[in-house]
Amino acid sequence: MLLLLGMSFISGSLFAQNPTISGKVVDEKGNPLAGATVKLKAAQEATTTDIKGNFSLHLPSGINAIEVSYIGYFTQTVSVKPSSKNITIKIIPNPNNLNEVVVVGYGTQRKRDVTGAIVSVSATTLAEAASSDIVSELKGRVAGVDIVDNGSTPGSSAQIRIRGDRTLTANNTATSTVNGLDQPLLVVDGIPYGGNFSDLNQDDVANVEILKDASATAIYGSRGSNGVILVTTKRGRKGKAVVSYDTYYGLANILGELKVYNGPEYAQFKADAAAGNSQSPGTTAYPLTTAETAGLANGTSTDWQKLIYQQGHTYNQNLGISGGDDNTQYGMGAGYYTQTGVIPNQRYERYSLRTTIDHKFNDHVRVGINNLTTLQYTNLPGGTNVPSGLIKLSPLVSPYLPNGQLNLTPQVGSIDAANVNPLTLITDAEAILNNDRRFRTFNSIYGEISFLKYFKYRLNVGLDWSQDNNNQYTGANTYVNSSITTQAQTTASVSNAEAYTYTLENILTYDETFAKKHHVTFTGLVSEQKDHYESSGFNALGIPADYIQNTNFALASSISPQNGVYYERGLLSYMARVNYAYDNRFILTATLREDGSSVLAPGHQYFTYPALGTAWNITNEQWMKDVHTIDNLKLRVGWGKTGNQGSQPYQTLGTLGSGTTNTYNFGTTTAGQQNGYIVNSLANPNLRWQYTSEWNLGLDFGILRDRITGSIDAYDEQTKDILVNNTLPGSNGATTQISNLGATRDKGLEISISTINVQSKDFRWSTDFVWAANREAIVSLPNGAKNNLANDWFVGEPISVIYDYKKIGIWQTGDPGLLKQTSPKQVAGQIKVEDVNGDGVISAADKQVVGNFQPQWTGGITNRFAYKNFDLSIVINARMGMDVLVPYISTDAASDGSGFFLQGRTNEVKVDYWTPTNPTNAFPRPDASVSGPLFGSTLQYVNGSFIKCRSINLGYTFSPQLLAHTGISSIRVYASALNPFIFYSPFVKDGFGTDPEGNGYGGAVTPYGGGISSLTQQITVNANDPSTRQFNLGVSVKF
Amino acid sequence: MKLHSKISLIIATISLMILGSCKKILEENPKSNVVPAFLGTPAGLLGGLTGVYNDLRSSYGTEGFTLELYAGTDEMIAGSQAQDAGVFNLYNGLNGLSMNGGFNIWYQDINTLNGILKFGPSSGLPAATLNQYLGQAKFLRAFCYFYLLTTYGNVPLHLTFNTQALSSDAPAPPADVYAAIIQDLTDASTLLPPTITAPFLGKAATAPTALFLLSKVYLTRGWSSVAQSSDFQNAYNTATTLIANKATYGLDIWQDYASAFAPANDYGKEVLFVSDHDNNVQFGQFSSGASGGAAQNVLPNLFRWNYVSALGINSSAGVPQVSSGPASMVRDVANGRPYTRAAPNTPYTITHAFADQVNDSRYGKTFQTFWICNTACTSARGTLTVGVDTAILMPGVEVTQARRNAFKGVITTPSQYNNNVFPTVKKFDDLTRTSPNDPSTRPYCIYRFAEAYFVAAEAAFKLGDNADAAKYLNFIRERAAYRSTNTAAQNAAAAAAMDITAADINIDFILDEYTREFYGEPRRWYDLVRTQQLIRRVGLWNPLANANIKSFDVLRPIPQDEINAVLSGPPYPQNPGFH
Repeated sequence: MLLLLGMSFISGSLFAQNPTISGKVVDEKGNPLAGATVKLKAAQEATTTDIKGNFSLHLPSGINAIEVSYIGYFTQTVSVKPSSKNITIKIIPNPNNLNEVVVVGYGTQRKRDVTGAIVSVSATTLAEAASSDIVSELKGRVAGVDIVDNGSTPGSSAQIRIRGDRTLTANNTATSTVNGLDQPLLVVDGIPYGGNFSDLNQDDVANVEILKDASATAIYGSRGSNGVILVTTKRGRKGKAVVSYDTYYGLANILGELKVYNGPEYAQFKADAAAGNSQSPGTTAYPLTTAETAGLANGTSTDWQKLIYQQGHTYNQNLGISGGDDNTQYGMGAGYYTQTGVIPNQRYERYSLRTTIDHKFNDHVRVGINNLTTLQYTNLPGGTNVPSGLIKLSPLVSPYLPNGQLNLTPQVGSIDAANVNPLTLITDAEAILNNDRRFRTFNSIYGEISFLKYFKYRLNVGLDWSQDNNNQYTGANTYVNSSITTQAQTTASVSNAEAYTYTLENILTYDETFAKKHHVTFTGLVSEQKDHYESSGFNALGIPADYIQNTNFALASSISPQNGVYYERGLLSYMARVNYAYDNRFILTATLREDGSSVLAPGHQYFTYPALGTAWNITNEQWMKDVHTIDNLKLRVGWGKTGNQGSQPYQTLGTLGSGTTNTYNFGTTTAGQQNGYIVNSLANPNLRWQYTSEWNLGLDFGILRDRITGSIDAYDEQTKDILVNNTLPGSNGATTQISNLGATRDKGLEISISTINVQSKDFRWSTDFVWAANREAIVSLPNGAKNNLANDWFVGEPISVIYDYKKIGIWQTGDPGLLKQTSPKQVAGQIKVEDVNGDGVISAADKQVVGNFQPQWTGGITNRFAYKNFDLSIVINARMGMDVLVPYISTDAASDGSGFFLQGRTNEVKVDYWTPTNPTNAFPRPDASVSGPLFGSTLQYVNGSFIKCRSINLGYTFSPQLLAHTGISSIRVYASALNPFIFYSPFVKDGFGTDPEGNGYGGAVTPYGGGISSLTQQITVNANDPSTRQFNLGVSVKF
Repeated sequence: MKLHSKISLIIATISLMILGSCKKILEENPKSNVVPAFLGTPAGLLGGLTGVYNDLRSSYGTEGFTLELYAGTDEMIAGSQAQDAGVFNLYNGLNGLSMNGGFNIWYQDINTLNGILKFGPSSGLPAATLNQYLGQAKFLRAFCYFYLLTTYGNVPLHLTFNTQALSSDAPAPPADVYAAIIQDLTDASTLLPPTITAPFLGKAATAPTALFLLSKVYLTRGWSSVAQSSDFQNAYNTATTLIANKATYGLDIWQDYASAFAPANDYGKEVLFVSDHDNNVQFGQFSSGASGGAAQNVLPNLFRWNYVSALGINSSAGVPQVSSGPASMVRDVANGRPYTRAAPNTPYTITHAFADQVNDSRYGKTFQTFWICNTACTSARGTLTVGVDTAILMPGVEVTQARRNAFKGVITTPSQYNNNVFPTVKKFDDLTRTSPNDPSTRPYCIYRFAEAYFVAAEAAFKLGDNADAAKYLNFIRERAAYRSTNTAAQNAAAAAAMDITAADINIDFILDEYTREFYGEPRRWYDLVRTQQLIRRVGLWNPLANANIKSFDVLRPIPQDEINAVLSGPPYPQNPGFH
């Protein structure tokens, strides 16, 4: 045996005829990789793969392994035998590759040169939790990026916050040109992209970079303090044309219904409310109707939610073509996305087109164009809060009449006799129109000239135009009417809004390396941007027939205008940035930006934003050369000032409250019809920039051959001169003035760790873990005040707090405290709140901070498994330790929340309420004499913590061999589940609902005497379109 | 030139153009907003007055505001569907948090009016128009301050246009506020035209409106702690002069009490001042089916019981009226939308104040007491014919069981009245609506000319001339005796029976007469507070409210919002007694 071996060795060396091994290098998806280096282990010989990823190499004796490397991928060692032929080597991308280029705003940097807190997320990662927009896909993926759902309404976008809130009053409604005050800046291919995230087809996105700290965002100056999301769209690439086609189809079902009283429980609830009547005990104005009494006798228990909710469908398909030669690259894409809701006739459709061309005239001149066009239709008949009506309907009545016809007014005989059957949403769909059409075309072109070897001048021109067209019609006797109506009461409306933004940027860059060790990059910018918005619309009353809908207002009995809006804002900017790297060890980035904005007062229009970032690549130090367990260690320290230009145009000029709400008729003739206004806000001639200064300390690391990589960032930011609508004593004539007031502070810690737990030939398991905690607080208020009760601001507390009475239970029979309390006098079964000063009077002095909306921590874990051709990813995200508002288990004396909660008038979400025989401390006694429980607002504060499985995605990639002669280069089929289950949620456990994540920012019950509703940073769970669980089946093909 | 050179040149040219044009981008030119400079223009002055009138209608006739005008008195108790039964009807836990709206709006109006008075004289308007505008502004400013003063007692007084953001403010002495009101009304009564003049059509303020309010302000100050000795005399003189000159102003009382509330007479001779409404979507802000909100007049709904659900026609005597058997009524335009926010306080209102239903026609003209069947139904006592048979009858007196048994519908008698079932105020019914759920588009009458006789009578009583007081009340009482269905002789006899003498006059009689004349017209709390009878009368007639009312409840608490927003200077004081 030994001899034989020896002979073959000899013969091998004698004839110098080493055996040839051959194979193919493919990426993680099975696509061939051209240009990968294949090197013999422990030898010098190496080769590179050809365009098809193939290689062949002589294998000298004694060598039994090869190393495959490729930029941006983990180097992989594969054992080989002399007989190895046509082996396929799959290599895996290394997210921590230091030579990788990252987009940093107005340019790119090598990852090793980055000094700020920047996170990249690839399209592949985003696609693991496929959704209609990238924001939802980012949930639980990036430390410090906190995303809250805006409901399951088709086409709706989520709310995103980077490193917490910093503004005292936030405007969450992102119009096409002004972002919400705490919403990050979105930049697409270098051009600021205002407005809706859903305008962007997520399939057009190649990569997302999130700039978190001020040293990174300061180059966006006045728009940088909320963080910046840089989106790079797919562009053409060199090589033969590649055609890709991706599609998936999904089915969505509600997570569950809201639990309401069934027939017998409802009858008991009404009886309990009559018994609890505090004005006239034993009586009620809301007894069972004749029909309900009959229904109770014959066992009717209608589940209205079940009758309405249906299965939702999602269908997404995208076709892409890219290719090009050395001089010209092109990319094209066409997409169609449609989603139907769980409420009848809710539908969202998006058509998108993408074109990119990059052309190089010669080594000095390059030009390119990028066009992203989307057309969206959103159809929401009945709006987004249909369920809030469903939960109030009586279960004791039948939706159909004995003759099988629809029971149009099922609650006839009750106070709500005129309520129309919700099934009219289905049976009379033609008579309900609520449709929005949005068209947006986002274009950018650039020209680039390189000169004097190290200089590059680039001109970016962006032109963004969008149009919204909203159409509404409400026919007679449909669910969307609050009551039975006649044709004369039908309403219609049409409104149109147009917005455009143009951006011009002149960028000069200089890039040179001196004496091998000094790498200097300079970027200079002069830019201007103008936003324009205008809208108009009309309402009509009395449309003669349903089929006309809103097509001819001349046929209406009367029409009235909506408020017209027109505004423009301009931004003028100068920026300079120097990046200096010494010996790949020390890096310094210095930025200076100056922004001038039209919306601020003359004399205060300009502000300068400096920033400094430094980094030390410790691994590149000589003394680290021998530390083999550490592959990368980089320390980053940054400081910068950024701003927020959230104030609306014309605030410095003052306005008079005017428009459709101040009209009056003196008498009934047209001669007496007048338009009017009221002086209700004050101009601020000193309005200036709000700014944030932030320190960031970060550490990037990679150990055990990059098996464990990650970053830890700590930050401390202070925001000053905050733009707020300052509440003034009303007696001076105006209640608000936009002002620069107060300071807030955000401190936080963010940890991201990626590990490769198992890596073998056939099996690979990796984990991404992100965790973040942010602590926001108000640092100071004007005049050194410790609090500002007019706005519910408290020094030391988070920006948005719940300031209300503190519910400490329910008054129980015989409680001696009942006698001590003189105002208001209370009885057993009512909500007991804390009498802080113990004076026996519950008054403003007893209000206290009882909660807030700031999570103690947020986080996510993504586990990815690959076994042979199978891949599996599981995304889990968590938000822990904050309150949410649940208005539907609460109400105040007005109509907020669930109107008539615990009155016994309507059905409602089932709760554990007090009766003399059920002395609970959860919910008060139903009382037919009041429209809501005393101190009812205190019922709505619920622990909103949750841990959820966000998505599960299982895929199978066909092996290239199988596809060899089909002309198809790769196919992956997959099945995925979105929102499959919830691991932990006290809210769900208590039976209050199915999803604690929140689906809105409005609708909160106003605490007695005001508060909360003035804040928009609250997170509410409303009885809106219910959350769904979705299962998708998809395929991705490349030709 | 090579292509790429051309491209380079184009890029360079564009970039130079940008650098040249950029400064202009920072200039602001608003278009769709009304800017403050507009205030000084003729159209701006009219627009400001319009805005204030619109604010009045966003208070009067809307639910929350109107509640505060009548709740917690002898006349009414909380209805079975009252929104805030405990706080305003019962004074249980009333504090600064109970009042968080309204207050600011009045001051926005005042500041707008201050602006009009400041910029008006330099606007270049012709003198007649200018006088009318300034007269309107002064009247409205006085109206606002009178409301604030009588509601809150201790309120700031600002008579100049404020454009500064201030975080301090303090109440002015009530005497100063009264003086400012009286000055404004005196001026307005000469600046305003004697009768309605365009563009202030309908029933906007005129000279007699200013005079009427002036008489009422004198009367109110006369009762107050800052009274001046001439106040009752001034109130008397102003009111009686107004009555004497009624022909000049086109004012009078109708022969028939019911005519004062007939929709045809909404802008008639007895109506002095209204907050206006219209079914025009734009200028009337009409919203079909609206259940409330700014500019929506829901007054007709507030005092209406739910004739649909609370009563089955098989109910009989001696038992509370509860639902059983088929409903004989469905909601319709004629019978209106039931809010059941307030119910008559039966012992006082029905049994005491409206005790005389024979000579005094006002009971029958104030209350709807029968409902004609509007949906087919059969009771144990027979089938009711739609549009013919009476489904529900409230005869106002107890009846025998035999009569009940003979009646196909149901009879409800005073002993069965509660806060759920009761005679309904019908004065404001709006039959022109297309849907029973639509808000009313009739104007809300704030001042009715009949009240001038009451001011005269009350002032005469305070001046010690009860005979004269009786004389003015007899104008009202004799009119109340009139029925169009009676013969002249019957009317004369009834009028004679209604006449009172000086001996009948005392404060309780006057307040009872206010109830008979104005029941349902929201104002009662103010009448009782002005005459310093609130605590006593609540004690006499309203045991539910009496359990909580305190001596300090004659003022409303200062809204906590105002107290919270005063952040510099001395803290804004809460009214005594309130926490």
